[in-house]
Amino acid sequence: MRSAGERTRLLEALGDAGLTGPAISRRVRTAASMDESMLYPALHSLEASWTLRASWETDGDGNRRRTYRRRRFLLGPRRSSETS
Amino acid sequence: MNGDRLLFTAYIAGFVALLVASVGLLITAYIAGFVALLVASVRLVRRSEPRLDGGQFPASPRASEIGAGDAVAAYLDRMSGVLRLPAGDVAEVRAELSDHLADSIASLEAEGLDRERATREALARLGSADELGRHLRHAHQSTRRLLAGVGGGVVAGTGGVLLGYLGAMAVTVAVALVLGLAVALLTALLTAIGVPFPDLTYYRTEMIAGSLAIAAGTGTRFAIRTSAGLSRRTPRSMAVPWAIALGIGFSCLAVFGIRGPQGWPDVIVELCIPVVAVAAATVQIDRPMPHVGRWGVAIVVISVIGIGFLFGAVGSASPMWVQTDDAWYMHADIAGPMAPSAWLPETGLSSRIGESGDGATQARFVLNTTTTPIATALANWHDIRGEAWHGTLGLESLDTHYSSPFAIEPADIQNDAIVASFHFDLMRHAGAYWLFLTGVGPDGRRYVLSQGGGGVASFYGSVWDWLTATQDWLTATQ
Repeated sequence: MRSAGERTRLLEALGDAGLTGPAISRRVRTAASMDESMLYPALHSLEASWTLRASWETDGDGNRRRTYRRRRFLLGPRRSSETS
Repeated sequence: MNGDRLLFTAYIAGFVALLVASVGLLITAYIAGFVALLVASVRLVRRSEPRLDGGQFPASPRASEIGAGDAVAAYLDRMSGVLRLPAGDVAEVRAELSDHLADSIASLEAEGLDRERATREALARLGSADELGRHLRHAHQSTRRLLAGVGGGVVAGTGGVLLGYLGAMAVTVAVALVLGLAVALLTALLTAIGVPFPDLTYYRTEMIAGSLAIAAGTGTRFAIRTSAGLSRRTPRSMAVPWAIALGIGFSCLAVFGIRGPQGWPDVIVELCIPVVAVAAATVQIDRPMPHVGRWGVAIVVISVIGIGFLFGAVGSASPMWVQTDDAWYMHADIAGPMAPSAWLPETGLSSRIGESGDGATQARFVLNTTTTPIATALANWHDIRGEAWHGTLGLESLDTHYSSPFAIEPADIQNDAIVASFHFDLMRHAGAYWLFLTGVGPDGRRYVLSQGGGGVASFYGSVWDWLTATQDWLTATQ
């Protein structure tokens, strides 16, 4: 993550929903100009710092996709398919 | 009065109950801590293993479904080459980026681009494969994860050492028992006489050192693979620092930490401990750890029983000493002529062999009467000293291959006894020995005043003590 501003924009784009990388990419592209090449390093960095939680979830078409959520300590619901 | 007695009894009962509860709590806490460490260690390894072997994460089929082709595969291959993450993380990143590219290509095609241009554009948006790989690697290998990896590695390594040690001891004791039993049965059948239980204590240092070598190997692999999984680094990249740290640690343990009966075989096995640790860190460190499950627990249980048995065997062992107050043993004349009885106290000298607090073997010679002080009784003797001569292995007689004692110590008069102390525990090759009290008589010749008994000694100490022990006792003491 290059700056605190980009980090904040990414978290704002994610909101409280669980989103896949492409979905976050679309939201970030719509909301602000962000280099797409930095999207995954940023997401993985936030995951490594325990800000985000990533899990593999199956979508409506039966595809398993990596989904990101903001980590809610003590308050957030736990998900059984967490892998990280 | 009855009330006071009742109160006193209640106080005592309460105190005893408190004492029992405290001891019980301590034992419970010790056992619980031990079990918790083993469980934590095994769980950490189990958590790390799937990440290292990469079998857990699904490859996204979407990229191949949309026919993204060789360009995407080549991009992902190049990016993977730069990642240098554990196989599981590489598979996960590839699956996620593959999914992203499939989504991106599909959306660009929906905007009117053909497949080839859409693929090029999607890849261009992700930037250089090398750059992306480097950024992703830095994102994964954070300082926080490195610290977690080191901490987890220490816990898993400690548990691995315990698990490996207990398991190896169990197997060693079991094998020793089976072999000992087989030999005993065979001997009993052949000679039809009673056969003593096999003496496990003779190989005690080898058994402990061999088990520690296996424990060092297990602990090292536990530590490296766990720290690699938790810190998102490849086992190979974590191997060098762990090999250096554990090599130094286990070297110190092997050279200074293990004290017991020593010989060259023991020293060699003990020096294998750091070698095994370094080998475990460097040889095929990418290979997955074997699954530790119920069998692991079973081994631990068997180990506890086996080690209890071994300690029982060690505890019951006592030094082998032979007293010879009454019989003059064969070839004792090698040590010198027996003193003429006219020059000796009428009551004669009796001897007792034992061990002093600092591990020395002591021969005590006392007069068989208490009326005359021993210094007065031996007033016409001078240069009185203790001599240790090599004996045959079975202590039947002196070893006729030697014409001089291998150790000489001055004899000190202590109250009513003359005492000669020998540190056979610090001599490499004492083995079977016989002790004598000798002195120079009125005619200026040296005579044997009394025979002190014999025994079998073994070196006791660390590898360092063994390596720095004096080779020639006489040179060192005279």
